[in-house]
Amino acid sequence: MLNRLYRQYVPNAPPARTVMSVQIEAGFKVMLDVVAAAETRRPAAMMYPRQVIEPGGWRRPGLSLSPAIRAGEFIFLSGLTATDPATGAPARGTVAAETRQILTNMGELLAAAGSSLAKAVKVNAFIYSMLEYENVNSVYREFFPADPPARTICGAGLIGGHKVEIECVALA
Amino acid sequence: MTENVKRSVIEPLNPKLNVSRNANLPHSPGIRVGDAIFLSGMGPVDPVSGGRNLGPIAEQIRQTLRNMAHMLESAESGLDRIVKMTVVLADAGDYDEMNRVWREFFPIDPPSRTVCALQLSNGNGVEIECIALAGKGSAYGI
Repeated sequence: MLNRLYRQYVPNAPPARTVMSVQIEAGFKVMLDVVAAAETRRPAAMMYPRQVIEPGGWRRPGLSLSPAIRAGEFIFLSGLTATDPATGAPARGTVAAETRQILTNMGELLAAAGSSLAKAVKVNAFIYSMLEYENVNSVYREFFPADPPARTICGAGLIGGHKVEIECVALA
Repeated sequence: MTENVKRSVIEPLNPKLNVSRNANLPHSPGIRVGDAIFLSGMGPVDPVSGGRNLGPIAEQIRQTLRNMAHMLESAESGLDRIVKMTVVLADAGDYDEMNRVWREFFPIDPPSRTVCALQLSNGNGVEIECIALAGKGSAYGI
């Protein structure tokens, strides 16, 4: 059904796509999360830099991911779970508490990359249950009081007993 | 004078790995737009038979990452040009095993990454998508 309808809208050279079975907002059956290209006045960059962003406190021996990567004008952050910034230990708590810890850490990570939460363009948030949706939003609003970034939230299984995981793409 | 950023479809050189075309699915294996490459979610497809390769989870992950390397190299990019990966595991219990495999493929300066556990189609144990930069860099970003 999805593919039959979908094909009508993108009959030629369809976009890359990943389909997942997740919890979404109550009452909905489908959610689309889209990245599109717009017009630009800027010629394509001639260099292709890829820079690892790994501030001191984020460095963990043997970790198989980088906290963030800068690619051209964009910074791509790994999914962050609630951790104590001093020790790197998990800081599990309520959804509200974990959200606050994650967004605080995210602001610091972006600052270390010369960016900030205000320059976030797209946020993806995973929560263990969509019943906690409003508990994310209430804290989230404190961090993005005006012109918040585009955002997708869904319910999904998380690693390590965490209740919330948040990733984002920001402008450098 | 404005002009559109060029948007082109990326397909694997090995047609057996062109899952969306072979299964007549309405998505492209990948799209390049400007300097960025966006790949669709990939699974453990056998590059010889084109069928699923549902062995132990470590082998599924290796196969998927090898296929991803092939897809990126088909677009003259590579695993060392990936900036962001999203990994979906069918079983969150496979997380440690996944990290072990990850270090084989990304020994230094690994991409940023998000992992979650969800239902997957076709009995796959893993699905991975990525955003990469086009072009060759010096190996591992220096």
